[in-house]
Amino acid sequence: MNAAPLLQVDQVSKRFGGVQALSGVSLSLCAGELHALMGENGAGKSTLIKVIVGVHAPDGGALHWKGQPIRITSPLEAQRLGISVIHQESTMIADLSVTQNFALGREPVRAAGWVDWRAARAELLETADQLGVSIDPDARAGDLTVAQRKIVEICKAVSQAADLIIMDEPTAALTASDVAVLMQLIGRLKAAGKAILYVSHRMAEVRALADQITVLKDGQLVGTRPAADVTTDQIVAMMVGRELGQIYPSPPEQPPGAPALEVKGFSLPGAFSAVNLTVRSGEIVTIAGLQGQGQRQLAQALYGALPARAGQVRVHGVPVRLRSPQEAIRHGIGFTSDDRQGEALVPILSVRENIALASLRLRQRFGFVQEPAEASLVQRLVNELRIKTASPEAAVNTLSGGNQQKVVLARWLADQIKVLILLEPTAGVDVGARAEIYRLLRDLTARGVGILVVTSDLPEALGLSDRILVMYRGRLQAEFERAAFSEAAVMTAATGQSGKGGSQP
Amino acid sequence: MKATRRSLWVLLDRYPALPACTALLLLVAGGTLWVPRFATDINIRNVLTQIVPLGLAAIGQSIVVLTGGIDMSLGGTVTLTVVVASLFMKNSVALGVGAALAAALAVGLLNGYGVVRLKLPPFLMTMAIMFALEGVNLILRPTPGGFVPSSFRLLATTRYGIVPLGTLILAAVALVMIVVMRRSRHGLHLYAVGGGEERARLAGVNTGRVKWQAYLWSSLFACLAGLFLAARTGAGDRFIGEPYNMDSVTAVVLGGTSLAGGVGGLEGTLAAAALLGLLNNTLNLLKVLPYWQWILKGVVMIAALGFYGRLRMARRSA
Repeated sequence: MNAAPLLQVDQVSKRFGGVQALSGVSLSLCAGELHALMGENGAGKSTLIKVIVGVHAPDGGALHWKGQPIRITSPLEAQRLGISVIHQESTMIADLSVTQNFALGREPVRAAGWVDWRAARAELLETADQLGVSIDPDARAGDLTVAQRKIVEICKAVSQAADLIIMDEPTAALTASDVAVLMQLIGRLKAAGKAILYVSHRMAEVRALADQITVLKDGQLVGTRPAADVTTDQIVAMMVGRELGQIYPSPPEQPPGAPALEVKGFSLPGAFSAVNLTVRSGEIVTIAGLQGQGQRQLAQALYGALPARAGQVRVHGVPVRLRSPQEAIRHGIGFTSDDRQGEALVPILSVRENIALASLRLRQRFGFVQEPAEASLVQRLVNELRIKTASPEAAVNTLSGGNQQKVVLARWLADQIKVLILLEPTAGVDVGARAEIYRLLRDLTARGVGILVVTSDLPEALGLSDRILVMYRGRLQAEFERAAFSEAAVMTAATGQSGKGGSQP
Repeated sequence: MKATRRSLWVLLDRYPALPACTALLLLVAGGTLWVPRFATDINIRNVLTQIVPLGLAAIGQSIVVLTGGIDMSLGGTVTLTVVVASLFMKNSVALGVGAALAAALAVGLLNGYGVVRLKLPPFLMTMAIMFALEGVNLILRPTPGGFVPSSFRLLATTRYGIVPLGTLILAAVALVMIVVMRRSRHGLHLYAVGGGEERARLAGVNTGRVKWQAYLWSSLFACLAGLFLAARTGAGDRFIGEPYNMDSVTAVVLGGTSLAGGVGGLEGTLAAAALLGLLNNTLNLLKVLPYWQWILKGVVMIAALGFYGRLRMARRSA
């Protein structure tokens, strides 16, 4: 505990355009310790990791590695120093074998560039053995489960003689039993004297593993505490730092109206099956769950972007067919993608053009856009939504993430929609803009729109919705009314155990 | 259905050349049985010679495609080497070969520069180079001509029994490249870049250099194909390389290599190159007009893309 720190992060700052991602953050990591890094989405955890491994150069501050000041300029250099990262998304190449992935980038080479595959394989098996895990070295990486991939990646880090292993939400997509396996493995790494920087939202894991806990908020260090000295409530208070009610608008007083969207027996093989759900006018329903349980595809299918194979969909009681987004829009279904740059916006077009895109047909005459009408509508929306832009003619990719999301929403405000489906509406959006987006959604429900939100952000699901549906392996696993909301119950249902307090739909 | 598809995929994983080889064997058997003059010594020798330049070019194309790129300037590079060789061979064979090699590698460097440094889409970069090469070739050799000494022409005319020297060279080069792709670090890196460039970069692969090397490989093999063509035709002709653009891509696709990169291998490409050569030959023997041959080639390519595409989809959902 009192040994000199392995890595010392000293007053590091980083700015991206108009956003201060990190300001004056300090942290020290010691051998044999697990240091949990916590904070809300957008608090600066990823940026800090990227600064440590040399993806981003810090604007200010310094790093000390084993007591020496260093500048790390690339992940490769970090790796050579003994810093490895296990990314949240697997970095294994699906079409290569486990051994090939294990060796990639640091292959045991004999003369003339021939890889000694036997040595690579032996090293993999030896590392796995040492860590007490079993691995099929010849399997195709793409055929492994998420947990198996994590284990291979950890083996790779260990065999690279990493002194510091950074794990970015390693359990985000794991089932409960896989989490247990991984936690055991992490315990062994600690015992072997590795320092671990562990990013996670899951309090139980952090409580079980962490020696130190550091909390970031809005790019600033809230504090570092020995894990033994803080209660879970104290950690939450450090992370949130404000009343939840301040960012989430209060739910409406009148009960929701008639069903806006009814879905029965909706199936897409390989993604989701037999989904039944109802969203009423004026209601916000959230589909929560771990990533990759089919909720993304469900949202896309409800917008006609993916073809469902079976099932019925009704909008305001009228059966509709959803063979394309065009059809969905015609029936009054709006959609915002989590991939704003790729799917929701046309980055190089102006704010005005992006807002007008989906609702063009409202202001056309003989196929021509009614420009003055459009301009005044756009100006009104920009003011109403407080979209921070130099002018409606500025290219939309010059805006911050939160303001881009407002542009996407403005589109649907301009149109007369009945149902709005949102995929991860606040991913990469800072807290201030998030509060405004939540308020906007409530404004929409006040006008009678039914809203379906897909989010993997549990606090968001709990704070924003009137009802939560939990998806697990392509099925809706549990349903919670607002009165029965609890983080633990939703999490339990999301990891496949049937939800306590929730009803089976 | 799903189970059979899945086991088929396991088989294809281990033997990516399987569909092309099967089709090749069927064509050989069918040709021997039903096509007149198919199994004669002269025809066999002809086919074995014809597949040499396409086989060489297709190896180069495969390497680029496996990294997730494509080389649309390959045909132009073949022509360039023939033209440059025909200009310098009258002085000395070594000078001709050296100049042709230098010219080809310059094209590879340029393609690599555009794709890696300027970050242009490979299809557009190499297409732009193809247009430029058409001009260069026209300037260097407005009409067919030039001189290729008979000593160099031995490359295309020597044969051992029924087997031409060129075919043996192709086989030897192919064998070496297959081992390089499967066993060497360089091969692993080529596959890794095609399988996931960002992931390969995170693993510590110098992805820019690897892509650059891929374009150098393709221009090197275009050069070998061009030198063989120079030996065979004995002159420089500014149209000679044209077919190798599309034919090399066709061979790659027929051979089971994914145009998205990372999946497939040279074995399949080579079997497919042989298949294409043999198909051409068979259709000629059957006196099918070239127009119909082109249409058939298009149909075969669509069928192959559909076949592999469906299998890959089945695998993903399995």
